[in-house]
Order: sequence, then structure tokens, then C-alpha cells
Amino acid sequence: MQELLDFIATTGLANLDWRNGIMIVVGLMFIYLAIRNEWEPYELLPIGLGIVAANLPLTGLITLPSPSAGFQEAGIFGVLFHYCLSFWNILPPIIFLGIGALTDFGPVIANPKTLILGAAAQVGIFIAFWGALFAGHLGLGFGIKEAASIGIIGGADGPTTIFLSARLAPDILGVTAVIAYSYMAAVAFIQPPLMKLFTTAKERQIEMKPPRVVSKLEKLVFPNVALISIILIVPKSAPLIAMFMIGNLFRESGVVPRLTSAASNEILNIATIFLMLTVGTQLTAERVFDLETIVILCLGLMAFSCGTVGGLLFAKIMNLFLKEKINPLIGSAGVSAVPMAARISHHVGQEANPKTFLLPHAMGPNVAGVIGSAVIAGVFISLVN
Amino acid sequence: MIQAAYLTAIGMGTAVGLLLVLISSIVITKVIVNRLDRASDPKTFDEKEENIRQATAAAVAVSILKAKATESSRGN
Repeated sequence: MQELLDFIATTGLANLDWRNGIMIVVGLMFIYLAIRNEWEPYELLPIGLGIVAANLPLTGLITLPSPSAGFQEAGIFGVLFHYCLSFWNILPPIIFLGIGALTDFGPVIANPKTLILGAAAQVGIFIAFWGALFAGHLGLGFGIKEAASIGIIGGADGPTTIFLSARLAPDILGVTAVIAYSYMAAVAFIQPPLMKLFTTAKERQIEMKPPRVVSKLEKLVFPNVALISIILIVPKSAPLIAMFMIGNLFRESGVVPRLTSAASNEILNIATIFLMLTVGTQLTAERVFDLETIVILCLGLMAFSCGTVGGLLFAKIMNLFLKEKINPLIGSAGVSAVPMAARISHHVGQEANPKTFLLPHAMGPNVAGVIGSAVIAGVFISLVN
Repeated sequence: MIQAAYLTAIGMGTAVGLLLVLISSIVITKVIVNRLDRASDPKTFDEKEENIRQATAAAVAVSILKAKATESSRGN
């Protein structure tokens, strides 16, 4: 009988905390939304599975490798988190390689003024940065490093958030990564109400001419210039920017289709599996039911919203000076979240006027947002670390 | 606070500055590409028209010569 009781005591069921139960339900909701509604399934499905796996008690899946605990005791997600995200931080640059191989700079080159919208949308990073510093002054334990890591969530770029947090504030890396990816997955809910609130129906109906055809030479020159100029000014952004531009040069060169295909398919998919699962496993009950996490969640939402509004308002300001008006909805795509934010701009535009086709135009600020947030992450690392 | 203010100014300034550099590079590349295109193509509309006229004349001349050659071979 004692053996039976001992066995029961070793089961997960006997050790299940109510908070773990809630998190498992949250994970199942993510899985449901990904499968039933197909809402960002490449993110929500693995994140949801990671949440469920990590919140099952006594599994040791997320135990980190450490000499004191014994390396053999480390769990698979603990190993992945430590070596791929926190310590060596290799997954974010690999993801950037794949994104680069998928990115077409054509719309940006065709309409370069849209790049500025990507810069305007970065304002959310600094609003959240100051918000975190203020929360730190109220006694929440956020210093300048944590504030920078929280602020970068406003860039709506998961790999950049992980890259920066791993360097500056590894203690909150799990939380910032989960929040950044959660908001990226929730872009379809967060952005449209703000887009409708800050633009008029007439503005949303503005039609934009299709972008001009861009020559191969232009497409080859741009990533080279970007690679050299950005890294010369902000060397600390090199791991992200270099991989992004290398991936794009693979694509635009046209002479290495197998490398382009590998970077944009196999490598990106493998990296996505490990990244999303590992990010999901960081959403444990102990982390979520914590005041600091809730504050970071609110600051992240504020950053994301301010970035969206910043892009929209700047597009409206640009329209005051432009002869050929731009649809301000493309401004919200400046928050990165490639390509979801651009798709949202397109869908909201089509709701207002089915003749508008904003996707190629929104890709300009979208790509600029990726570059802008990586640059700001590099500046943070250079000056704060 | 002062460090945070510097970070904000430098971070935002660098992002905007670099994107302006990229915009300039795009414009410069476009100008160069257009010049290269013009250098390889006929420069003016008149020249293009002249080329078309010459090509048409050549095609007509070849057709006439071919027709004459066919007639003369029939005659033999």
C-alpha cells in the first residue's frame, strides 16, 4: 500500500498546481486558435504545445544545464533555451537569415520614402523603455538593461527581442520573448482597432499606384549598401543585420537557388520549431503569476500600440507634404512583425476600399521596421552593456 | 535618467539616420541604373524612330531581293 502511495506521490497529477492547470488551459487555447481559426499557426501551435509541456509537473523538460545541478539533469527545452537563446544566442540570427532569403526589397526600392515609416514606428520602443524605467523607480526592479529589453518588445520582432534580452537582461529573457511573440501572433487583434481609430474612412480608402519594376542591379546593390553602412555605424547589430542581408543576397543573386531554398525553408523551419517550442516552455505558471511579468505584459502592449500609432500618425504627417498621397494604413506595418503587420494593413485597406492593394506598399515600412529595431537593439547593446 | 535620455536620442537618431542613408543609396542607385540604361539604349526618341525606320527599310529590302531572286530562278 505504501508503494502505491509513493507512486501516486511521484505522479504529475499529485503535484499539479492550480496555476499550472490554468496555464495548460491557456496552452490548449493557443492550440485551438491555431488549428480551428488558423491564427498564426506557425507561432501559436508550437508556443501552445510548449506551454502545455512546460506546465506539466515533474517533467524536468525546462531544467537548465548547470554544473551544480549536473549537466545530465538538464531537460531538452532547458538545453535549447540555454544554448540556442540565452548563452550562445544563435537562433535569432539564423531566423534572420531565413527572413532575409524570403524578403523582397523591391517595394522598398520602388518607394523608398516608406522606409521612414519604419523608423517612426520605433517610437513605441522608447515609450516602453521610459515606462519600464518609471516602473523601476516605483520599486519593480527594472534597471536600464531591463528597460531596454522590455522596450524592444515594441519593435514587434521576436528574434531581435531575444537577441537583446539575452545580452542585457537574461533573467527576463523568457518573459520578454514570450510576450513579443504573443503580441506578434495577436497583431490581428491589436492593430485593426487602432488603425480605425487613428485614420478616417477617407484616408483608409486612398489608392496607391502599383510600385515600379525594380532592376536586378538595384536589388543587388541595396542589401550590400545596407550591410556595410549599418554595420559600420552599429557593429553590435551585425549578427542580425549581416544574416538578414546575406539571406537576401542569396535570393537576389539568383545563382544559389539551393542555398536560398535551404535558408528560407529547411533552416528557417527547423529554427522556428525549436525557437517557438522553447519560447512556449518559458510561459510557466511561476513566471506568469508574477507582478513583474504582468507589468512587462502591459508595457509590451503599450510599446506595440504606440509603435502602431506612431507609424499611422507619421504617414498622416507625410501626406501633408506629399503630392501623391500614401494610405496611412501602411504606417502601422512599421512595427516589423513580418509579414503579418503588412497583411493587416492590406486587409484593413481592402475593408475600406476593395480596390486598394496595399500589401506591396506595406512591405516597405515592414522591412524598415525589422532593420530599425535591429539597429536600435545594436545601439542599446553598444551603450548599455 | 541622463543615460536613458542619451540612449533615446542616439537610438532614434541612429535608426532614422541609417534609414535616410538607405533612402539616399536607393535614389543614387536608381540614377546610376537609369544612366546605364540610357548609355546602352538609343538616347533620344528621334534616334529610336530612326532605328525603327531603318529596320523596316532593311526588312522590306530583303523581302524585295528575295522575291526578285525567286522570280529569276523561275525564269531559268
